[in-house]
Amino acid sequence: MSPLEVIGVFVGIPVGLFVLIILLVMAPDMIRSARQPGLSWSGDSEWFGVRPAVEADRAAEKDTAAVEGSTAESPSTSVSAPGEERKAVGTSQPVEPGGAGGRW
Amino acid sequence: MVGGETFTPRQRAEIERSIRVASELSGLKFSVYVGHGELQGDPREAAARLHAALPDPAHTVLVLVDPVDRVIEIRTGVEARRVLSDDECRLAILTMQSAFAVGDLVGGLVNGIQQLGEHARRPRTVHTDEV
Repeated sequence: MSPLEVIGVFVGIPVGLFVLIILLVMAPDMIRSARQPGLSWSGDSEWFGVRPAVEADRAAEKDTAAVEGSTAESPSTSVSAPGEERKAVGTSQPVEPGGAGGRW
Repeated sequence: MVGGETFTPRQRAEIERSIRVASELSGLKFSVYVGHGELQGDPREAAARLHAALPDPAHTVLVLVDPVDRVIEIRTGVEARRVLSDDECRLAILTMQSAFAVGDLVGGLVNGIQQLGEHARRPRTVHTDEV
């Protein structure tokens, strides 16, 4: 065995394994920090649950565009029909301020 | 997370499920907005504007999260405020803040919404509520 082979076997392999283990341990944290909100937010805005009439109309347009030739389907339970929502928005009651806000 | 794709289908399902559970517990409607476009300017005013545009604002709780400006706003309607006080909203915001601070956007939303639903839980009325 040449000195180079000895160094490769007794130093190279342990160091390689050491680096591999470190990378495996640190990988989840690195991925998580890359997805930290505020730093890498590149997504579209999204609504969940009840949504305003304009957004509901957009969603309905998306649905109808996706299903070509089919008639408009009845909306899901979380979102009422766009026509109804327009009516509701028009007659919306005055809302007193309630709730809270914060930053992180 | 793919560019343009904010949440995975699984994450969306988790958030929708927490909204459904909170609505069932409280009898209120929940609306959650995550994004940057609508919250420019004064977040409180933006929240009030969006809340007023919802189908039934009186019974609706609106949760707004801006991951870019790191802003959370919760808005409650007149009827919703009877069962969900501003202090309870602040507690839910604290829950969300702690999760968001470590990068857990979905976990923060799910826990915050669940907390709002539990705080607004309707008290059971003897003889009138079904067993």
